[in-house]
Amino acid sequence: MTMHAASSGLPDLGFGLGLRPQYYPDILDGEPPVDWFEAITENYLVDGGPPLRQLDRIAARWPVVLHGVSLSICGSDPLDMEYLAQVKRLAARVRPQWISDHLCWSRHNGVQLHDLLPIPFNEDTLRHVAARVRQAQDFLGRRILLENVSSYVEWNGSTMTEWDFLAALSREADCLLLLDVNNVYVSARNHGFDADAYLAGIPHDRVAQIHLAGHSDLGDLIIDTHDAPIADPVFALYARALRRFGPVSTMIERDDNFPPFAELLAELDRVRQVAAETLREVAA
Amino acid sequence: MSGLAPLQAGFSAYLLDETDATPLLPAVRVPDGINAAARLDVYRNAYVERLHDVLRTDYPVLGRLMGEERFAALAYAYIAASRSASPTIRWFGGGLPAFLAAQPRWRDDGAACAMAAFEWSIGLAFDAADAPAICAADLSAVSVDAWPALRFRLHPALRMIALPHAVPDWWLAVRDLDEAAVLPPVPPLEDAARHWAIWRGQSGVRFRMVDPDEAAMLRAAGQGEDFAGLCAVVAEHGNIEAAPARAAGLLRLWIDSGWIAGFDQGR
Repeated sequence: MTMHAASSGLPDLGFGLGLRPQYYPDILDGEPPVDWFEAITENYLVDGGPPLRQLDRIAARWPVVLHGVSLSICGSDPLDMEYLAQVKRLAARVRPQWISDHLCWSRHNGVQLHDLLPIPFNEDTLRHVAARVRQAQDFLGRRILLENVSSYVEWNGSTMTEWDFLAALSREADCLLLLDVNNVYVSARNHGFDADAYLAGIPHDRVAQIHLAGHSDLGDLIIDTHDAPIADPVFALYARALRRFGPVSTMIERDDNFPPFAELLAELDRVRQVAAETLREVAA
Repeated sequence: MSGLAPLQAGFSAYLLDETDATPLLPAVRVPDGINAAARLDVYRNAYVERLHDVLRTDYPVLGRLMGEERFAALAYAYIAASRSASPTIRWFGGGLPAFLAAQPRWRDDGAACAMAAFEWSIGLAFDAADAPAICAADLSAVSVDAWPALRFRLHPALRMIALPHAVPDWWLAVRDLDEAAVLPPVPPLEDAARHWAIWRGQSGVRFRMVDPDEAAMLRAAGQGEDFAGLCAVVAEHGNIEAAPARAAGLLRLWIDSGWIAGFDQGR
């Protein structure tokens, strides 16, 4: 596959899937039309055994990126350098196209909370997080991507929007962004902001990857469950994101209620079609 | 509650059920609609259920043995009593066997205690470090004189565990049964604890019972005892004259099972 650079400077890998063990046989025993895979970093921070062997085999055939959930880049504990060293060792083995994690905190006072927890968006947090992103990037020897998370609370300590925070952070720390379009939709509904204003506030040259996923609509709140197909309004928002950001490596995350692999491939085809139609319209 | 660290301290105390939501409520912005406490609840529920899911994944047959309700009670008690220290959620359940064996509510359920220890060992063998395994031919160049001083390095995926109930056979019988299936009788308490070896084979994690002399020899090998010492350990369990042949036979079996990652000739 010929890879073209997206406006972020990183390659446009095309259309990928989150790598989940349930699908190892479908992936490795066939020739699935998937351009690339995103592996959850922590699933492979083990000493050995089948998980690492499977990842090696997949990385030998497809471009792979590493996506972490435990960096706690917005935490007030010091950065966990032992964890970062493990990530760096894994990256040396897998040679990912890039490494990403989330704009959140997940650890406090040494206790891991195993969740992507929201922060107040203000100048103090911005300075704190930007310094930590630079520290992590210096250690890893590469720019990282940070992903916007779905959230269910906003803090009164916020003095700026999430998108202004991300824009400022990407400039100050010189990092890239992983735009989760489903998370934008979920948080916009939960907090009553305008998802298009969010997209408009994100610098187009910082978005190196896009996530799509399904959610659970509970009426009052939407929960980012990754257990269902991508909802139509999220497809629509994805199309509007592509109008702004151009072609960007895009993938589907599925973490529960796993469908047969063929269904995921069909969903990925729909993503391809939406992207192709949108980009054709933009070019016209 | 201003500042990032106090906010995170307050939120983590709430997630860990050390406080209720009251101290946090003033920090939460509430647009129209759903209130602050309900929003915070999403996170607390997610914290508990995510860890519960991990325990169900790590201990699927223990769940069958205890029944869904009793296992859930155990899981929630363990979650409430435990703090996760590793960035990898994979390790959260490592303390469950000891917790189960120490709690008055469950500690008398010997089969459950044995199953918890066994299932955790299965998981440890699954993603333990890789290492090449030697084959019998690798030892053919060792001179007869050098054999007494040979020391063996066990494969890092090899585990040994003593179990008072024969839960591994029950595990094998139950793990692929569907939820509606009638389960076999729970393995009773044995006259004496049996030793089991658990290791990673070509096609997945495997296990087998080992006799007391083999268990003692395996333990001694793991502690760096040389072959002469291993023979002496075996001799303590049986016929002194037959001990070297028995030890050599067991060693060959270990090599063929991929349990030996290397050997050193004595200095």
